[in-house]
Amino acid sequence: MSGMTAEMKKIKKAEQKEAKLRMKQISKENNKIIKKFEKEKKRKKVDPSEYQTTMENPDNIIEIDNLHTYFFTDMGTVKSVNGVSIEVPKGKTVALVGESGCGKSVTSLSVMKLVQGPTGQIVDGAIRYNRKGGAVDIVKTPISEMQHIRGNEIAMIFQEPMTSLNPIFTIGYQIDETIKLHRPDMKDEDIKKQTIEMLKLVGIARAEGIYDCYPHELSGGMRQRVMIAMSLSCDPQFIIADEPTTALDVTIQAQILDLLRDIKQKIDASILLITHDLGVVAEMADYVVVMYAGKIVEQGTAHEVFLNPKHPYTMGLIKSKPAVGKVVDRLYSIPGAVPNPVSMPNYCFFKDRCDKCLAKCNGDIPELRYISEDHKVACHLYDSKGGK
Amino acid sequence: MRQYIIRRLFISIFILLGVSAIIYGLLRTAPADYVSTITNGIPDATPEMKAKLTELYGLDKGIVEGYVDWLSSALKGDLGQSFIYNKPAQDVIKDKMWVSFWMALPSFILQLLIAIPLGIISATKQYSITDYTVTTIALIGISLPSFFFAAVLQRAFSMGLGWFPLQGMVTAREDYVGFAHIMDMAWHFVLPITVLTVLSIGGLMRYSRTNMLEVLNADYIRTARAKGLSEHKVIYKHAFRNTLIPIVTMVGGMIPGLFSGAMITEGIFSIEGLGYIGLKALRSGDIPFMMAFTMFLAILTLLGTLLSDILYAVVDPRVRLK
Repeated sequence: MSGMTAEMKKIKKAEQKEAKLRMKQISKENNKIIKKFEKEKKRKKVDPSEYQTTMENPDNIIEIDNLHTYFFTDMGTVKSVNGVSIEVPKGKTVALVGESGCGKSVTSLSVMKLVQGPTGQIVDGAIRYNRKGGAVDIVKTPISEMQHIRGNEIAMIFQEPMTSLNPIFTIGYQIDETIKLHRPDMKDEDIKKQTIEMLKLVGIARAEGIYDCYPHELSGGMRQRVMIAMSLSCDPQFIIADEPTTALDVTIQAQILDLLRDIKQKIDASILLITHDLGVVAEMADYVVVMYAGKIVEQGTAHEVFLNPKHPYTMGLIKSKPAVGKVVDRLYSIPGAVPNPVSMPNYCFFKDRCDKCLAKCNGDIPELRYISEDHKVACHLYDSKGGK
Repeated sequence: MRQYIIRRLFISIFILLGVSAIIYGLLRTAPADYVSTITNGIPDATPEMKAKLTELYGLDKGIVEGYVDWLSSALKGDLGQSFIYNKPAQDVIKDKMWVSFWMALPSFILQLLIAIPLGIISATKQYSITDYTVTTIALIGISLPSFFFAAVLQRAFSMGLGWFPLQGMVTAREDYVGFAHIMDMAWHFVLPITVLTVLSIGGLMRYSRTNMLEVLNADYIRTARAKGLSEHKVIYKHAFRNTLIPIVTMVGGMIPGLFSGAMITEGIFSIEGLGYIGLKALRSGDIPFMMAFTMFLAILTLLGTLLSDILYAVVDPRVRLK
């Protein structure tokens, strides 16, 4: 007995040693890769020709093309965004849906180049942004140039209004700061006027009073309004709203969504709306992109995707949405869990949770294919039908 | 705010009462009182003489009675005569605390100037060579015992190179006055100040680093970046101001402690500061001085915590004292 445990201990020890060695190797390789990317990001005085590009369709504001954003952790490489392509037409709202951890937020942070470094890096792909002075590829744009784009041309609204404002500066100061940064020749009093106007625009009644308040003195809904006011303060062309209503209660959610829609009309911006709330999508979006485990599984107009979902995952998502007036014993939930992000399978990522599997599903990962003019899906079920 | 301070001071009175009772009890129950210390070396001291001395120093009374006596005169502002110095205990403290203070203040300033920037730099460059170097040096500083480091410095800079005096506060038989006197003292203080600084940098540096790291991962830092602020502004304005909140409160609380003396370092360098003579008084059972000294430390500690609470409300808009 004791001999066996000793033997087992030995094996365990050897395993631990091996795991440790592997981890060391991984972290060594990671360091090399990370260093390369960080160096490129930090470059100064980059010739604009290096990141200039042309849009595939000049009517788009953003074209995300085959984006790969990885996290190089000690446990291995996590492919958070693994070949995602999204187009956002000018003046439209595109919703990005999927469950937590599927890569929605990382996609949006990639557009801002705000992926948490040094572990997170954009490794491949292009994000073409239709800038007024000529299109640029954000992936290649150095941080120093990105600082002119962030907050000015592309703005972002985050999902945690409670913690997204700096607790030690007043609301007014924080909005002023954004305007001052991007409009350096504006006078201080004009800046203040603009800030108060922005606060009024987002439906804050006592804008002058709120101007001197600290974030902790406001409720969550108010803070999210302030965040929206801040992100809109420089008239951005493109707004990324990363689950703007998740942290808010339902009554406030509707208000915030109405607000976003109104403002979008007013300043004629495009929105990339990230959410896992299908109700929000139905209300807001022109186009829907469904993501699963770092890949797009279905993409199309909101109308098509909602009324005619093709991918089993999308169907599951829609089925698991609670509906008023429908009597159900128990809300549907998709069985199983997302595969381990470090070692993704080499067949369809959804296969293990899918109830419509074919023999083919054990083969290659399905590609995103057109099944109709404005509807794309990545599933073997539709291999025979249509196709490009 | 004012109400808060008054209330805190009021509570402090009771804390001091409790502290004084406990310390008096402990000091009196300690073996070897002052009389036995001074009669130790005199072989022909008779028991009658000892009894008389004991009575003279008021050590014949019971602990409770002695404490009540001490308390009633202390409330009148008389902390008793120090046995060793034969002077009112508060006068001894008043004299010596400035020595400790002038040694602690430069070290305190150096600490802030070195530790906080190092902490910030090593947080912004987390896991880089700079970070590892700074952290290693800081850990060495924390782990070095003061007597050992002091001995190394003495060996190298005073016995070896002869740059600084071995110990003491002034050069003997020189009788400098005015500016020359100050310079002479400063020259004597270089090594002790180095010891105090090097040993305490580590703690503050680690504290700044941890706080900065925490702040840098906060959501509002991401917001600041999303606004388009430069990395420099993000770190030195948005992050640094938030990092300062815990640092200011901690450092503010340390200020009264500057008067309390550094027992070991003062002892090694024979500097007549509060710590050094406090230790001496403890060894010989100088109860009035020890009482005054420990009360002084207790007051400083209470002031320190009060000061740090007040500073918290000053630097952090979320905190309101009631």
